[in-house]
Amino acid sequence: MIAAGDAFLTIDEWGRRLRGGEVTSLALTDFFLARLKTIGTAHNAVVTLTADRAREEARLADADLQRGRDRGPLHGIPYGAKDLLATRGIPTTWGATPFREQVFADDATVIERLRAAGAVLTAKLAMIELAGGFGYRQAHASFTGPALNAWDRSCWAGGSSSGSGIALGAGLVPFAIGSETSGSILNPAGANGVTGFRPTYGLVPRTGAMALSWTLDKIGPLCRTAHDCLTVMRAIAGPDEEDFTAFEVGTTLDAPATLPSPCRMARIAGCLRTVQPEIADRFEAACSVLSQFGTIDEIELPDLPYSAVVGTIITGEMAAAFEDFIRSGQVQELTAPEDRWGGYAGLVLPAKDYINALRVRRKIQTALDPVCQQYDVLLAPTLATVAGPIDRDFREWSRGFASSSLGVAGNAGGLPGITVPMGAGANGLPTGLQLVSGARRDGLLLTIATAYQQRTGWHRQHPERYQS
Amino acid sequence: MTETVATFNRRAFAQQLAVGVGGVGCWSSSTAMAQPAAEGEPPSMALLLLAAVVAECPGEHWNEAQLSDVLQDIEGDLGRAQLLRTVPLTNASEPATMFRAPAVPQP
Repeated sequence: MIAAGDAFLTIDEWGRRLRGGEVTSLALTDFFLARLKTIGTAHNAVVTLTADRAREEARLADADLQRGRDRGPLHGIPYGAKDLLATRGIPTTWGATPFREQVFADDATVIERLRAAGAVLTAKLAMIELAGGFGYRQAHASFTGPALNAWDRSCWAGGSSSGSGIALGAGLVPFAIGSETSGSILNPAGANGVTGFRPTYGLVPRTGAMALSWTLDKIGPLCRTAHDCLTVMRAIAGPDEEDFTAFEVGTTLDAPATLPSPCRMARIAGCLRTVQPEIADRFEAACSVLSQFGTIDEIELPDLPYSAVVGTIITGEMAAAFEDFIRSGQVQELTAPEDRWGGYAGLVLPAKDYINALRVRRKIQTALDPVCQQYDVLLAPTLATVAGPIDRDFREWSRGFASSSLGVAGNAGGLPGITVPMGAGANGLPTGLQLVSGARRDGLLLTIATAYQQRTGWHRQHPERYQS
Repeated sequence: MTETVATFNRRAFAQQLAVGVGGVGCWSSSTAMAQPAAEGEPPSMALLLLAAVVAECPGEHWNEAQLSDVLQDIEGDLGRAQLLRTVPLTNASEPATMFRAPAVPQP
């Protein structure tokens, strides 16, 4: 018998129980399948339960362990995947009505790698339709319904990896896979009070993932801890024949045994200007903890049009990726009214504007490089507000979502970023601390985030109703 | 850009566009020509691009609200392009594209 409170154990903790014979992968899988079916459905977090495949993978994991074949830390661990990752024989809907019946013949590379590592796929998780590229402005932008926050069903869960955020926040899986073009992992992870990691662009292959923007899309994990993120990353990172942007891991995921001494950190100037007061307080407290590791300066990011670059690139690449979908009129079947029209402007985006965005993007990389050389990590609140009302236009409450340009700059520069819980904000809803490092310094970033979580207990706080 | 849009008769233009490809011709032959020279300045880039959208995707589904939404998006895109132009770029400033030459085949 597994207690409800155990739903929030980490990958390592489940691994010890599995190897100690306290629980089987099959029992664990059935436990999480039940939670996904009840709690997950109540939060609109699940598109498809993959029960048959999950039980098959769990039985295999149990048999392997009995035979002494241990495939590593993810062996026998259930997980969920954002429904933009292809899964053989199981619908992959991209969150959009016109693709509800879409079934691929092969698993995405990330899914293949997790299977090889012994992980158990339990569910395809809800997402904003077509990863949010069509300009949705309110929560009802998925055919599975608005994503209801793990802490308060009257609030939004964030997007576009909405189901992944809820699944971790409500204890429906030990880890989940999400994707980020610009904000789609960190936003729902922050809103649901969990740890979400965006790797360096190209560290994880996208083969089999829906393309929104080829030059911006990244796949990454949402977990209980930064340490769990490192565990998942080590299973899914690395080159892939089908994705030529994916590079050799090399030292990228090396986690130093000790933090740099001193650890050089910088907070983004003005990052508290628009945030809710509780978030400002939590951020100051988080910086106080981090200051135990080293110095924290305050800096301005290079003055460059980060949002213009990312917005232009997404618009142009999305229009190319979905041109047939838009022209055919299928776009009119999307759930959010604004999404039905949000793709048309991209069809006439001047080519030189797209190219200029890519040129400025290189300037951004060049400008951010010395900043990331000077500092081990850059800091800002993940979001300007806690989760907002489910039935209101984002423009009424979100304050633009970002506390600063750190998130969009990180995405433009292909930099790794992570959000970790930093305590309760307004209405008792979670807040997140965003940390960003230089490209290919993912291991260092996760080490610093782990050190923060070793000194705080925010990542061990969960919605009370789902612990009993 | 916004000023141009505001002074242009968007409603009439949208109505003409809503009939499809012929809308562009209708605009040039009736709207512009019918207006005094001072008001007959060329339409903004955003409006011309909106006409291009309707020409590319003709149909019965366009109404003024939708055209207005798409126009706003186009204006947003063009506004971003203006911001991009504030960054000094030289002839040598290459884009960060994804293309790479294939590896040399091994004998």
